[in-house]
Amino acid sequence: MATTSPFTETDTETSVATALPWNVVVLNDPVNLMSYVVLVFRRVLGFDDDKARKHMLEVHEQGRSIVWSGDREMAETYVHELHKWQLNAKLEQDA
Amino acid sequence: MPKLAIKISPFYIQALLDVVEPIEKRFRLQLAVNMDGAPDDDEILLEAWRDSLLDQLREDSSYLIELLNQLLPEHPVELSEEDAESALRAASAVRLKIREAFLSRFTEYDLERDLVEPANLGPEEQKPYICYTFLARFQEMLIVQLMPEFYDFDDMMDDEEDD
Repeated sequence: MATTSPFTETDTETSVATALPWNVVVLNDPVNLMSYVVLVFRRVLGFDDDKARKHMLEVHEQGRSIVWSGDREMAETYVHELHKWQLNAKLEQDA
Repeated sequence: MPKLAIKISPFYIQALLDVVEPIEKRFRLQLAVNMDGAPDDDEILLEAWRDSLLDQLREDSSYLIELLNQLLPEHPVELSEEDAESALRAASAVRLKIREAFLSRFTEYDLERDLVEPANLGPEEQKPYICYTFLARFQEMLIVQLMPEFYDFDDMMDDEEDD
């Protein structure tokens, strides 16, 4: 009978979790202007106008938008920068 | 370089400062933005995160007050791009605080479309509301100069022709 070790499973889960990308999520807020959000996306994330508008509309209409995915350190930098610009942003690991 | 030319009376400026200055004092200790989204598994990082945001907020909001004090009817103010960005961030922070402290009973829809009737506001809400709407127009004035392509020129021309 084959047996499985719980330790092996835990190790696998840990390595999968570490490998998953981190998302920078911007949430809708009732205050910031649409034009302001577009400007922030362009300044902070380097988006062109079309991409910035697309994500701004996603935030406005769906309540949230994933604006960047990648390693945790860079994601933290972006969330921090978006907070400096008064946007409601959060760090979230990909499910 | 962004330039602000606003015909505004000293009386109106004082009304704005009456709202912005106490909020700026609160920003010495309290953030405007929701920090729930920061990583919460490292206390040292979280503290550094908060301190850095507060430093930026203090710098931005004291610049906004300096700028409001410079606004005179006959003297346009010229800003560097960096200063314009600082003023934009501060205006957002102040608007967030005004909304939270004074205007929370109004819907996003009403505030976005200027549907709040100033005459129906309580005395404690009037100056904050004026400041809230002024800062939105102020932000638009700066954004149109920093990012003119956002505002569709052809649409604006069509609107003017329709008038």
